[in-house]
Amino acid sequence: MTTENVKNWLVGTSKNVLMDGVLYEPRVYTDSYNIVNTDTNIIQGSPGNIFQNGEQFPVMLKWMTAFITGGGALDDTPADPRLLQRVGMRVRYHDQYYMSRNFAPIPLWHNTQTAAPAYTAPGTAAWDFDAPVVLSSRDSLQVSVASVDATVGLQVRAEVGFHGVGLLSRRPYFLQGTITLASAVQTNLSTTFFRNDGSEPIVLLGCVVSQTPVSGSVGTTLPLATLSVQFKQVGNGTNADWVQAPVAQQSRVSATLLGTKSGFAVVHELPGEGWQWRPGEGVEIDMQNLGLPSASPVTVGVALIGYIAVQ
Amino acid sequence: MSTRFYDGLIYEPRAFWDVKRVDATPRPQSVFFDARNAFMNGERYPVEIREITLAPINYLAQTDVLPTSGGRYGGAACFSACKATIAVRLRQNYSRFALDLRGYSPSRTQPPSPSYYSDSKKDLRRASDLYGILYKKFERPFVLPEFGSVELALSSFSGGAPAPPEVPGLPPRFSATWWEAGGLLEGSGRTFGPRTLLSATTSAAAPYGAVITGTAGTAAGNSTTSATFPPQHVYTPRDFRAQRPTVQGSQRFLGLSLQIDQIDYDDSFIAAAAVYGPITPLSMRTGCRIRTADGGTKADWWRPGAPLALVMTHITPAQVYRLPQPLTLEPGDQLEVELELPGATPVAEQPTETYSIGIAFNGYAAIEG
Repeated sequence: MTTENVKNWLVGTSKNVLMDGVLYEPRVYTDSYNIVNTDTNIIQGSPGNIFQNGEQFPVMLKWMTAFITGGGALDDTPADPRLLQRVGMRVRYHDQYYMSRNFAPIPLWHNTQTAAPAYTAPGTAAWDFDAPVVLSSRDSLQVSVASVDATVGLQVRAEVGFHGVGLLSRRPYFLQGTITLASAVQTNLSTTFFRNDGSEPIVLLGCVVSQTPVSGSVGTTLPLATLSVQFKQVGNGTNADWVQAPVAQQSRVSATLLGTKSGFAVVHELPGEGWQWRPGEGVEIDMQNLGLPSASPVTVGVALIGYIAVQ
Repeated sequence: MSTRFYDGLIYEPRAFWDVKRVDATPRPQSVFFDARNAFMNGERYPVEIREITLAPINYLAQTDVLPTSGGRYGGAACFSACKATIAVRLRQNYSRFALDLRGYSPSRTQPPSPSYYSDSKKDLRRASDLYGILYKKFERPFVLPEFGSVELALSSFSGGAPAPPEVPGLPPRFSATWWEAGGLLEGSGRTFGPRTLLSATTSAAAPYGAVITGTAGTAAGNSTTSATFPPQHVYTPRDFRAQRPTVQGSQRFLGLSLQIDQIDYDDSFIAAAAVYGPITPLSMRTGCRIRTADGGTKADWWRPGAPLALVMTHITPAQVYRLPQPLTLEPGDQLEVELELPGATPVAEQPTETYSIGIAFNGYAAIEG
């Protein structure tokens, strides 16, 4: 959400002209594709209509992101992220194609400036919400994380933070939770990190996810692709998962894919006001190998990011 | 010179560009960019300038640190040593003194860096780029009539891969997408490629001369040409129209993306230890030519050969300064750019040190129908 839009929204709430009973919640639809160098077939996503609005409210999508989230086990660990240039992608909607029926190398979709400062970039993704999320008094957020990098020998610290302003006071709020992971098992951050203990609703405007190694012999940062995350508001709102993902991903999204503001993912801003999905609407996303080197199968993660409008 | 805006007209992207290549001398130099009135608006339409792009052009390495002499042969060393003054002759100077090139405030246009992904098997600190992406957003509407089309051609580049070892895997390749409004999902596109990007066999075929490097031993790679704009690099108007043959009515274009895959090209230098710093993106050694073929002015958007990095203004390895207020070049108006170069003492590894700086003024021609 732009600064100007936030200002207008806040001014509107103070005049009670925007209290129309509509709540916004972020939504992320994500899937992953395993691509092998010997395969030139079209590779379709997981079964189950991942990129489809399965809820009873309209969804507005603003961003499409992609990154290599795994693979390369034969000679590269983790996979060389440049190999995203060797994977083509296309988007289908009722046999219409967005943008083209040809498979475009995924970096061609990158139309947003997202490079972060050098010292934060590798392990951090910043996501500005496209519509404000109201965290009412005594509400909290449930955040689940898992890192495939985390082992007893390499403990990983995951940090998830939200920032926003008070609905009445306009003061800034920062809510951040941290957890150390020693295995790849999904773990919930304590909801006390994110609880609104004040007397006014907090308007959340964005989220930052990062991952740092706390033991082992690696450097001071870890690429974020191995950390995955799920969110849910506890209290008001839909109380539904923000991330819709296949069962194989245990309903989490690779945190790199959330970096619509800054990070490493290819970030494509959807044209115009974005796409509106009414209930049941969606798209299908296909991939194709465009010349991956031998012995370098990769896993490409794709996410569509926006918000749901709940009345 | 004025700051007028034009509305209700047809717009086409334009850029006035030049690359100045000068051998260093022990004494400081002051030189003008003066190739064929490169910064003069020679058309009959006013051109609204929005961005100034600056970059070291045609270097093999972004920062090349020789073990014995420090960082002198990479683009960064050249860029940080130079200063420039921009003026309208006899009328306006945009700064009283020559500005350090970095003083033209850089915008956030850099693509993500690959340097954080190094491990014991890959040294991506020397890789050129993570995605090899360039993007130009059309901030003024670029509208083509129903059967309008655009021709896009890339030049060959100088600096083939090191002879031993041979280029593993694929030679550099390029792809392009023209982003278009309309369609069921509010957007459509015309995607071309990937096609092989050829390197120049002779410096005569390379638009900016031989690649500048502090190290010897670079030779032609495995895909070469003696043409500056080889036919394999051209996306013709026919290619363009074939992508959406059934489109009806005028089409509005939102932007142009180009992507250069140089993964294996980079890796061949890294494997041969042929350079000491990151390889430059090929977009800083490759020129381009774009013209509206049917509809619009049917003219080249800029003098053919503009370095890709200088004219793709939204995501690019070049430094981009966005003018707070657009500047309009009326027909016949001309800018003047003067470079100030410090003196340099030759060292044994390279007796001649070369400065090569590119600058472009990017904007839109406002065309009355």
